[in-house]
Amino acid sequence: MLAFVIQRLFQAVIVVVAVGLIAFTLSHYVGDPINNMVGQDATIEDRAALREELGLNDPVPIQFGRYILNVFEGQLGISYRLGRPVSELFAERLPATLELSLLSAILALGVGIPMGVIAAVYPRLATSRIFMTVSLFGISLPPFFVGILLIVVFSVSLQWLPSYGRGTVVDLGGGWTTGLLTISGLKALILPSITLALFQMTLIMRLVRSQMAQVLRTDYIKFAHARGLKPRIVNFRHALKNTLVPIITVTALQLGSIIAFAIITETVFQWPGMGLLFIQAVQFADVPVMAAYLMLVSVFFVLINLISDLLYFAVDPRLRSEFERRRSA
Amino acid sequence: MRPDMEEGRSFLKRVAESDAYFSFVRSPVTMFAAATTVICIVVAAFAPWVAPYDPFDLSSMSLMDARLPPMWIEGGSPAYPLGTDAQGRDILSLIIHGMRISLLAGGLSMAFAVVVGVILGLISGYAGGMVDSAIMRLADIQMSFPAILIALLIDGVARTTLPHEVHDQLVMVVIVLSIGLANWVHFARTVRGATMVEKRREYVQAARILGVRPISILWRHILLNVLEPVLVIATVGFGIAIIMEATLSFLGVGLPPSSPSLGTLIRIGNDFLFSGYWWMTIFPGLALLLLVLSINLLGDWMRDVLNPTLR
Repeated sequence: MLAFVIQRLFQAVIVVVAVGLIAFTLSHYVGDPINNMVGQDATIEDRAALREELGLNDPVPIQFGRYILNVFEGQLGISYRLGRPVSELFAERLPATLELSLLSAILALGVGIPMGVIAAVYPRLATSRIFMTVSLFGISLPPFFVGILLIVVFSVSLQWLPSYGRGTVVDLGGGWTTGLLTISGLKALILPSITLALFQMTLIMRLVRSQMAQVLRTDYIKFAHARGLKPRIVNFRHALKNTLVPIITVTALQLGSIIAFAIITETVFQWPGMGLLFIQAVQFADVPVMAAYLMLVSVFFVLINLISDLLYFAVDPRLRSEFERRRSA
Repeated sequence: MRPDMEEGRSFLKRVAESDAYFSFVRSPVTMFAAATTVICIVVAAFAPWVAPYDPFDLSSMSLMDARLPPMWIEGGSPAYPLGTDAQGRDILSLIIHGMRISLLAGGLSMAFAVVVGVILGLISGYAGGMVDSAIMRLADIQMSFPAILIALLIDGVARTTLPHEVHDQLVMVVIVLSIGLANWVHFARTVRGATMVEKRREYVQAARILGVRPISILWRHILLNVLEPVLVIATVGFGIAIIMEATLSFLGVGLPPSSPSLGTLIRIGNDFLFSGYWWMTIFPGLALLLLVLSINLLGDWMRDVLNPTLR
């Protein structure tokens, strides 16, 4: 177990260092950082002095070390496009993205799992067939088009819900804003969170269905039925419990892709979050923002993966014993 | 002698008696999907001849015809069945040309992903050891990042490193590379697994003993035997690649308005959504949905027929 943890930690550190190296290369070698900082009329001597002062003449490993230290201190550079520190921009935008992603994740799990269970337990029910058809559309519909369709129906035609922005937000202190406390904030959340949740919901439903269908064919389920247990108890206590292991891993990975798909949803709904900031940075070649977003997101992904690996291990005793066996062999 | 090898049995007859054909004609949905996919590909291939107008010919469009609704709505004209865009271009023609570009970008990206994935998978499965674990760790790491993010990143780096004019010329190449590199992992993993099985078969052992070089063993003996699952993943992947290209274009980091794919059309139309010109974005979107849905249905069917054990 300990060996496994150390191995995974080692891998995680390698990934973060590799991504850090990419971010460093981007921000130091793409374009001339000096050119981006001084005016047109700066003399060659001025430039040289600034170069020396910023430590750009130091050996590359030292520069890289300094870059990583700065990142740890929260100094992520200054946005070329907006002229403000990246850390400040991120702090402003992070609550919007987290709120949206979290709500979507809850929606995707809360709806996706029951749909999958129903489709697996009662495959001949009309409802199950509808679920399967919907899920096929769910994976064939590009996420941005879902958003556009929702806007056409609920914002343009019916005019029930807003199509862009966060509505009125409340500052919880420390710059942490939330739209969960006002009516307009909640209304603004509805369409984006459905758009973001739909694709993940589809995947989770399909996964739960196929896993459940496998488990339902096993002997212990037949035996449980033979014992005269209520179908509800068999389905949920016996069957669903044993499908949860793969669901945990996939859900963890899906949480990661929710962050990635948030870029699309935020663009459609002009949601002032990290994703919109990033896509604008890509469009305008705003390297510091791109590099910092990359670092932050990869650290987040690595953490998610690490936790899901460990969780997987903790939940399924079979894996643990297999690992022990392999090591002793 | 196997029955299908008997003399006098034509290829068509053998096809007609196969399991695949049986399940194909038993499923109207699959037949519909196949027909739609074929129609889309044919229409796209012959776009300049099929499309009623040439949307890139400046002389043929007139601002007088701009923003016309579809023909069944008042104010619409039968000359433009699906209406026109803000510059007076025929939406139907734009969709046909856009589909051509979408299919091209999706197809090339998938082809690139297949080539990279199959080569790395073959090497990984055949060589084993350090090479294998290096490639597979790379695959593991990449799998933990969503593909769309990787494609965005490669695209973003290309955008920042290449000069503006160069990037404009190479934009198709950049898109194909970024989507391809984001999707090679599935192919590499599948091919690696299949290669490890084939490696132990007698025919490979025999070839080895005869002194055939590893490259020819991989190319002439193993490759053909591991291609079947690749075909299934590539079909599903084709739909994913088309969606990814559309997404990049929609986000404004894909193909430019001068060579609009369906995604670009949706993005351009989206700007006019609130002015009530919904047809500019909804029709290209429905075309995209129909195309990807058909490809996905075909992929599902192919997976069931060729390899029921794949998920």
